[in-house]
Amino acid sequence: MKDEMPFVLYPFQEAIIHLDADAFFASVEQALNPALKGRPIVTGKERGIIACASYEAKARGVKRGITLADARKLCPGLVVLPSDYETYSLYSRRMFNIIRRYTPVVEESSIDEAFADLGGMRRVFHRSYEQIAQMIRQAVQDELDITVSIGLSVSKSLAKLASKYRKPDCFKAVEGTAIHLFLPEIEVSAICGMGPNSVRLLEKYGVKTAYDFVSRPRDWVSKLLGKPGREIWDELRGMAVYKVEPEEKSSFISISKTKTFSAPSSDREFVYAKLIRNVESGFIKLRRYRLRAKVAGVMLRRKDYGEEGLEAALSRPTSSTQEVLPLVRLMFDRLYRHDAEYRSTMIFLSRLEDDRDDQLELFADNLRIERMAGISRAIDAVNEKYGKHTLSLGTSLFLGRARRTSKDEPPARKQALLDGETARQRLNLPMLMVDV
Amino acid sequence: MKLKFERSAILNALQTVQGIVTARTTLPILSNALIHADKKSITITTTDLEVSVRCGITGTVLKAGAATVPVRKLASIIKELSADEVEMEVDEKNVATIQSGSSLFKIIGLGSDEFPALPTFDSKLGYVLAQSTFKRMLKNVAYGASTDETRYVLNGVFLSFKGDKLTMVATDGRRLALVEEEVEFPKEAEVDLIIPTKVVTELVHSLGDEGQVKIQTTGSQVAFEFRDIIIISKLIEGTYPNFRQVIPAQSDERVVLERELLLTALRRAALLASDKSNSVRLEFSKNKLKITAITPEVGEAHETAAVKYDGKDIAVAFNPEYLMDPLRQLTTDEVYLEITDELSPGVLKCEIPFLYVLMPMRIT
Repeated sequence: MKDEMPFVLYPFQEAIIHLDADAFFASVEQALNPALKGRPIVTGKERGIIACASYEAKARGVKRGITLADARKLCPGLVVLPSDYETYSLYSRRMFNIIRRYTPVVEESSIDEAFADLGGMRRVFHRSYEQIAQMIRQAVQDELDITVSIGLSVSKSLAKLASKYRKPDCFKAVEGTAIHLFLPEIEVSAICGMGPNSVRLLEKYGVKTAYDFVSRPRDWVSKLLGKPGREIWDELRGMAVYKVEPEEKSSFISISKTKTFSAPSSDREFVYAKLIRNVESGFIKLRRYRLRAKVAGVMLRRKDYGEEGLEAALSRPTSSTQEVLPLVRLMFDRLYRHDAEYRSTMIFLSRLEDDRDDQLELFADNLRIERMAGISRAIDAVNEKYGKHTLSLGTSLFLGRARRTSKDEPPARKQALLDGETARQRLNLPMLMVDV
Repeated sequence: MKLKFERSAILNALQTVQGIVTARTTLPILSNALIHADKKSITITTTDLEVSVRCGITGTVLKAGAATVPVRKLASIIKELSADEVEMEVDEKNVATIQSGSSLFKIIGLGSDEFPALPTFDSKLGYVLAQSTFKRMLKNVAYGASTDETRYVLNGVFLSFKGDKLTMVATDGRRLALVEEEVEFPKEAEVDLIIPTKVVTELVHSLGDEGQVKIQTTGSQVAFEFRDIIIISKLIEGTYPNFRQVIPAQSDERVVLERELLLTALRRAALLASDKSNSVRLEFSKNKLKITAITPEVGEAHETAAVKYDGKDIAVAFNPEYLMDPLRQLTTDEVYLEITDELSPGVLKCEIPFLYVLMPMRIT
């Protein structure tokens, strides 16, 4: 394969990196509390399901998504921590800001992953792209005490494959001229965008590695997998199709909010209160992005993971929490079974549209609609100042009826409040858990 | 069955009946038209089970009978034929042979006994109007009907025969169009009907400028008879909203506008409106109208026009499509727009008994 013609004749026509933090939540916990370093730890205590496992835990077979009980069996001495999303997002923001010191074009693709376009930055730093990527990796490790893996290549798809290549704590560069040497080592299933169905389909045609995939004619791929397949084919051959998009996502097709209770419940008022809390959160998000919804759906999940849902169209699209409540109540009453135990509720808002222009209605009670919009605006204003959900619907009084279990232990940061901090409002600073 | 017609005669009939046949039907037979011939006449019928249309065809019956043939296929064949005379024969296997000049087609049909029977019409109430009047009235309101299936009572045109006149209304909850016409009918025949949009479209398409249309209803169904056409439809069941209460009794200001001028200005301004911000702003000041459309990240449009206006300065935003709809259908030179403020409905009127209420858009 070494003698074969490369797909691209330039090493870096584009220079895109993919940065992926290693076991992010667990690494943050270990950074905050050095006593946990080197020990198998997991987060996700409040759900009873592993959200993230440290590499020490992974080495013993503990994986994301398995239950706590199974994890403890696999790994006696496992340290189980409640998730502290507030601190994780502080770390996440700092991590992205470090990348921004090296290029302004950074796309935050999730809490612990980012793409960045380094193209042209060699001139600024008098370093090669490989060296700049290494500088980023070093800076994150020095400043945040967590490790990340970085892949550098000429397209997003290749950069992402490269960052996964020798995870954790690795750097891998795939020059345009070396793509054909890299792809034979990559299985098709590892390619981002290839689901299990595509993988099985490609297997039928003898396509096992990413190299097999790009060796097939473009038209053949196009016929078999359509436009998405063709785009991946181009990306893997070193032609960047997907751009690094630095803008924050502002358009949504739908918004959903769901939260698992710490202990399953058959308390009707409590389950309803949980649903309404999700409705409130969903509508806060809707208003933050100046959207309104035409369709609302409700889903209740039982302890046995069976679930039932209903969806209904509103008579007019709205962004007022108050306006959707009667419909939500109706759907909840139809779905709720008093003999069942529930573990989570979900609200699903769809057919979203821009909320800037509001077409008034002839037959609606416009005064009442305006009042409800006013209430939403007032609630947002109060919560902006005093913290999310400080002012909320009366049903939230029932939230306190949750059955307390050992899972309810709050994260360490919430137990170590500074003077003047409250359960709702804290300084935007992570706190090291070190005895001095 | 064996028939002979002029190409134009059967083509006209097919164009009348094929409108209600949708591309995808639940029953295969609903894609077909029933052709029925006896000694007296030839008729062609289509149905979607809600609406049925029957139309007569002038022609010669060589052998009486009945058959069904795929209507769209037949219409496209007849349209392409070059000769003026068409002969059609259907055998006992439901295969229709169409011969015209040097062309010969065979198309496979279905048995006529499978075709749903036309609803029998035992009508109590009847009304007669000039076709041209009825057509004009329908055209002046039809665009206002809702297409939102969750508001099914609004998915049609409301007809109210009351107090010696016919009132026609269509609304989608945001704007409302209303026309009235004096019609003679006995007092006991007062009735309210909601006619599905599909039928309204069919009527507007088929009604002519001369002759009369006879309307009959049983309360759950309605029939329209004109020329050699009969359209029978189910009515939309439900209570039509009380539209009288949303018509403003009085507005603060009244502007006289040249219809054509306003329409073309709106059409230009609307080019810079978009799905995301589908509104135009109308600013009225002394003898001046300014129309503005702004779409962020796209651009803006500004139009000014001289108008007859002497009231207070008012700015109000409307969906440009909603404002243009009635202007496209009306034929008068001038229209009157009555407005109060930016949150009150605008009312469009003209010399004929026509009224259009339009809710503004609130821009934030």
